[in-house]
Amino acid sequence: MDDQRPLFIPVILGTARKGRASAAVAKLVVSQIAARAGVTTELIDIATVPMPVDDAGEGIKDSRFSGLMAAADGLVIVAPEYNHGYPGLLKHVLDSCLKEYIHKAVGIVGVSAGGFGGTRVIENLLPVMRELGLVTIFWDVNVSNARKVFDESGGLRDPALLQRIDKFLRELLWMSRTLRYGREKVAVDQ
Amino acid sequence: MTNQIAPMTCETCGERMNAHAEKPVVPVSGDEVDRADPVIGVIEEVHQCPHCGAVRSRRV
Repeated sequence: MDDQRPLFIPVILGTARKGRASAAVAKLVVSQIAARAGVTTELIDIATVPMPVDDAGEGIKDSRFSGLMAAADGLVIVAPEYNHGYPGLLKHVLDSCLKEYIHKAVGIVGVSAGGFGGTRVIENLLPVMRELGLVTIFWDVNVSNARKVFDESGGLRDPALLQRIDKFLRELLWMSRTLRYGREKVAVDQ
Repeated sequence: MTNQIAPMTCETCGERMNAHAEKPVVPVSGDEVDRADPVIGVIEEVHQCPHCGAVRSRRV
């Protein structure tokens, strides 16, 4: 393995809704990843991924999104909870790839306007992650009362969130490094 | 005894890729439907280049 290659951990902002509070959360996570040595990141806003709605699955693969997923060593998905589930557009975008995800680590950041920190959207996403071939970590980030945690300009009001993101990222990066070694060095035939 | 996976070559740098996964997937084409295992479906082999990290796959 080329150990000098930095890890690439993009952050998917999983909603296109106007006024989305998840945008501030995603930008904060990007900044925390970018501050680490040996890691690169990029914010992927699903609102900007061109996806037709008259088809679904790998038949509508977007080359840029596919390329980013293929280059990724791990993923962060920032997902708001809509009616106890995940945004339909997030699933539509995720379903457009498969081989790009296989044996890569994923961590989920749940966001809610209320007090449950997106726990239900995280639980609903776990079986989807598994079927996509992603490997979920055991840390989540739960952001409750999202509009109180950030001010109107996206500034963080609750610094305790940074400590939770740090633990989440430490685990995600360990899994991403380990799984990259496996993908590149450990054959399924061995 | 298991079938050995035929190696793939990286289209970017020419390295021999590492076959790290056999993912069961649903058949999508008529040909795949005809040859799919009724329980498993078909297998997508996933390979990654140890040099540049490129990803390729083939459905078998």
